[in-house]
Amino acid sequence: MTDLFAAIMVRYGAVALSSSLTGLWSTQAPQDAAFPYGVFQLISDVSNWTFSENTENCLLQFNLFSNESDPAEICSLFELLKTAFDFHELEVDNYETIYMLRESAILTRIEGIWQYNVTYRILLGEL
Amino acid sequence: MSKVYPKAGYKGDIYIGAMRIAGGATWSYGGSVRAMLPTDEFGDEIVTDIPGQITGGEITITGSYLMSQDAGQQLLKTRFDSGEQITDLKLYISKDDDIYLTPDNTTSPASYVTVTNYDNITHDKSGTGTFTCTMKVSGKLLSTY
Repeated sequence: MTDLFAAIMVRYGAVALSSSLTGLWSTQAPQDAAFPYGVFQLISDVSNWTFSENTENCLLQFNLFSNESDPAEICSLFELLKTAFDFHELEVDNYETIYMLRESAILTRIEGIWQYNVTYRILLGEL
Repeated sequence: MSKVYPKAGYKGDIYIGAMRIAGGATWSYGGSVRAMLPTDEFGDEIVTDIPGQITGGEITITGSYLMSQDAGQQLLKTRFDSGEQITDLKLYISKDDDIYLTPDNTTSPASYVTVTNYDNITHDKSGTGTFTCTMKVSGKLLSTY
């Protein structure tokens, strides 16, 4: 799945979201990451086989964090995330992206920090 | 050669000529059917058949009912009322990749579809209004892929 993570980072680097976050990290951000920042992690990856084609059915979650008191910033970041990844055909080495669908988005605030937890289902076909 | 994977459903679409049928959410094509003609006779234990004619099958389109606000859905009604032979229907598998099914114009005579049912509307209190349209295929559909 390192190829999937690499494809996420390539896309991130090419869109406006990267100008609005201080960084996007896989699974864990540095302890001293400045707000606003983002993390993505693989929730699950289920393989599926047909007679000749193999697919990977992945759940991938983005977590966006903002320490602003107003939710405007976190909502703006969510919009940029949608623009970047909704229905985007990720360029994953040795795979074809069949779809990348946003399945859920949950906004919460814990100890003064806004969090947007956005989950995508990604279906990849092995080439 | 790279393997071929199915296209995600959301990439589909429905057009008649340049007119998009807005609200469309599902299209299905039942496929052609070849009649098989029995050739057995009294005393035969096993039924044998020879291939007969091919019928074109039926297309069903369903989606969100936009009342009379959408020109595409209006066009379905217009075509239904006139019984017109539609040769420029496009059932897209992927609009971006320009992959679609359309009446086969290489047959003789050229294939076409006819709207056979239009005013088929459902409105559920716990959902949204939906429409269903059916079309009969005379001839065959051709895939551009």
